Amino acid sequence: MQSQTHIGPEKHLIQGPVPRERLTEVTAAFEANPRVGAVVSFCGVVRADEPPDAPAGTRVEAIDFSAYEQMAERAIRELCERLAGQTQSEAVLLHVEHALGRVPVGEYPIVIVVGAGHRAEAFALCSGVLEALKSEVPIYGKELLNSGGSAWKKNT
Amino acid sequence: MKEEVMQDDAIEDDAPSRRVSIVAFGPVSELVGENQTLPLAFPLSGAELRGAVVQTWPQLAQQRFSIAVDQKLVRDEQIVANGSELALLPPFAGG
Repeated sequence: MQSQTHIGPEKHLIQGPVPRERLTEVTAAFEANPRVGAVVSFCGVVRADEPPDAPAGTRVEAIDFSAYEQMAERAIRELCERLAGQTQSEAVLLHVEHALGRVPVGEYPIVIVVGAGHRAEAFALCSGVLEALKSEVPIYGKELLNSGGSAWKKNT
Repeated sequence: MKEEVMQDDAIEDDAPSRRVSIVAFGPVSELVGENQTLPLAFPLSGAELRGAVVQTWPQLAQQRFSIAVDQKLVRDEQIVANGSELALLPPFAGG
């Protein structure tokens, strides 16, 4: 059986937080594929971090995301194609969306959904896509603090 | 400092410098500002591009950033034949 690969959506970067309903929409779409035996998803959530070097009570209210957009879109597509190509599965369905602009605490800056034949590939691909995105895609975030200040986000 | 020479169109080997757009992101964007250009005489290595950037914006000397020319990352030892947009890219922070 020839392997089927799908990478979406057409534009991976969207204005504003990734809508919560995207998770259920894409999961339902992937589940409907008869070759899919496992769907794994990751939602990043903006945390109300308290900067260690700021006065007590200071916390993150939102993150403002920016990107070198054309390069970022191409980088996401290329890493998805690379990692999907390395996956042995009857089907590899990938959905990656990342927010641009303001994302308040509790909302999603990123959603990744993976559909694959079996759980091992699905888990590995979801984790692999996330780690590759963090190191290969020119996206930046400015943490907006309740004090009115801000600080550039550093990836861990 | 290299003398700046304005040039319009055709680029030849060892051509005089021409102005290349600079786009900066993350913390580097606050140190460089918007709508910047830099006179560059291609071909240049990645190290030479970095040197030209830091010479123009000395406040970047201690900053970590990669350079992309026309959206392709450039290593220090790589030679770039030509380009119209130089991006200054601090460590990525998506996800």
